[in-house]
Amino acid sequence: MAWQNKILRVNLTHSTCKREPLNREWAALYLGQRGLGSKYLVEEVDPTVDPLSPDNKLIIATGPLTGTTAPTGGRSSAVTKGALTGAIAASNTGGMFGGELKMAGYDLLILEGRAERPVYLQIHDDYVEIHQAEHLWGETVWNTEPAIRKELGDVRYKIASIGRAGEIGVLFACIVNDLDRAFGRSGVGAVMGSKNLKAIAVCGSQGVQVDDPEAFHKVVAETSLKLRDDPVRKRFTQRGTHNMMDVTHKFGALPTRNARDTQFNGVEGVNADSVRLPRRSDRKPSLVKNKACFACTIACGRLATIDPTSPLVNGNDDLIGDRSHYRKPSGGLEYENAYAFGPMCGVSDLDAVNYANFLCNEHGMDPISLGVSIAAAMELFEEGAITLDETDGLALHFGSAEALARCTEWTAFGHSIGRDIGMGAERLCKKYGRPEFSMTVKGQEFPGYDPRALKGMALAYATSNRGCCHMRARPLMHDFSHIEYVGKAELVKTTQDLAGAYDSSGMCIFTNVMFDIDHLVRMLDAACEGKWTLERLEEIGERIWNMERQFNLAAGFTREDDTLPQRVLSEPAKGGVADGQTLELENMLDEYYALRGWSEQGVPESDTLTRLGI
Amino acid sequence: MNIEIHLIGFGDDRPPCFDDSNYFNLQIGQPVTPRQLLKKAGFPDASGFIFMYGKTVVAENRWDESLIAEEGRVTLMSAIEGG
Repeated sequence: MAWQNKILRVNLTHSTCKREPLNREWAALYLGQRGLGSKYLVEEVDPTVDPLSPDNKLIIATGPLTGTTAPTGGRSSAVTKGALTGAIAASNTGGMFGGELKMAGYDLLILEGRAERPVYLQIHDDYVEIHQAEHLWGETVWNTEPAIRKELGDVRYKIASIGRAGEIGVLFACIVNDLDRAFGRSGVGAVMGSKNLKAIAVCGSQGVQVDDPEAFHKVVAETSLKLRDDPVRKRFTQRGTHNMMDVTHKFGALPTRNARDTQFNGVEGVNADSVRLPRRSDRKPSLVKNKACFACTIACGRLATIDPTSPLVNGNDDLIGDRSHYRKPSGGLEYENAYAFGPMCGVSDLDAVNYANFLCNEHGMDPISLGVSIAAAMELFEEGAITLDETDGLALHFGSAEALARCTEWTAFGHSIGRDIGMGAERLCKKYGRPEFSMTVKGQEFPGYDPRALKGMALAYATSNRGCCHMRARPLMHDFSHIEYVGKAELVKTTQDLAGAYDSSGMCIFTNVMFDIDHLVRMLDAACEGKWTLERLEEIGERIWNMERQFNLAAGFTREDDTLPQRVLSEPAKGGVADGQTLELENMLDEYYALRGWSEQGVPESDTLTRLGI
Repeated sequence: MNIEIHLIGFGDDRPPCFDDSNYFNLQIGQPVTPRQLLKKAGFPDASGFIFMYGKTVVAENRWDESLIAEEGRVTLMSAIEGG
């Protein structure tokens, strides 16, 4: 129950599709989504494989609660070796796609090999077909979804696809589903593009069953009530994650101008209030309405518009063509995309920030990585490492809305300096001789939390198995109230393990700040066979973490990669609670390794692996 | 047949027949489709709902099939309360 007990394996090289029984022993040990998908990846893929070779695999994995009435139970993960990082990657999305894949009867979809020509995959329950997609290659996500529904003659298909970015090998390309939700991080879209796979279209009618409907109904009802009344949930609904921008700004933890600064003097232009203010032109705010994912009663997603009088949405040009389609609403600003295109690039122009985000939705790019890579390009330009010769004569100054818009377009189309930005900040900065300007960990760009002010998040960034990430551990609330180092290693370890369980369940990890994990335990216990306890979930999370670590070690990562950019280790923060401070990482790292049962070099000890059954 | 309908995630948008409660019993004389049941319960538009009958979440693609054929419980979840 809860699992469908079936996986679909598609070999794109040989154009074969095979249904296989789910390995239930692994499901009991790794749950689903990130954990179970990673287990299949680890068992089937050589950790040293080139991420963009046909030997890498891309696994779309649902969780046991995906497709159920568990609040926010619509999540799925894309698991692969990341194109951006070379590390194990698991990118988590919402929307409707994951629930539909589960309804079609599959826990996992394993994509192997590389199609000779562009193709898309049609899944309608047991009917699976690989279609030619040369006519769709080069099309945007926004055009691909309706085109496939029209071809298949069925509007019910839920679609995940890549845009141009994934086709041309932008290393932080993502897979977009439902027009503006995404398997976002680590370049999973580049892996999909390397397989010549344009899209996956799914329509399901199998249903999803739970083991104990009485108990499940009871805990779901209780959890929904808890969510309804929870003040954090209300804030998420009313203000979205975007609300965080004023918090990090005041705290001095808002990476600004490529993390040269930690507070942004233009924050009012791009914060959560800014999207609610009526524009001069039409007296309407940018924010149109909230958008919820499958089974979600939080609805933290946003639909937004750009000022209809903006040049960004009017006229024609050679690269973009007719701009009028950007006047329609698309996925709007949340905290991370607003931070990356706003403060990180020093830009306080709301329309430019929204525009950059629209292009990420349209062409399939991770806005965090893109924004931070553009910020790196801006610093390289200001320091003379990039000149006007490389930028078609465009000055890439911090704060330039035009530079932000053009760099975003150029990256999506592989034009001018956009080709280099599309490699990600680390490769970009190395190419231009200033690697210290790369705000990355393991090749993946910073989210919107400056480590100098947030010590737990600093350790979380340094040790994240998929490269720099704010979602792999949840120390944030503690960080805002405890700025010292004490206790951070244990907090990060504990929340990393719990995040592994959430990310493998089918639920949205945002709920972890709205209700106690006991609710998740009870939902799993009611939905799945067997006895599910907090201790079992903690162990599953720890098992997943160590398995991912083993993959990365075998891929060539070492302790030296568990670090942070030199800037945050040597340049003091300016302003906020950490004013004048740099970050001391090594002692926290030693303590963390010891708590994990790892050697001083960050290698899991044999008794740790034995205890976890790895 | 008695079908017990339970609402989850609804705000003030529940139909009058629920009488400000999250529970409502509906009598049906013959097998009905989920969509027919929803209409009878006061939901002419069920977009954004998750429909669970017994132990199964029923795919929306099957809401026009006569699946509701035995006494039991339907759990309706609205995924749009916050929206």
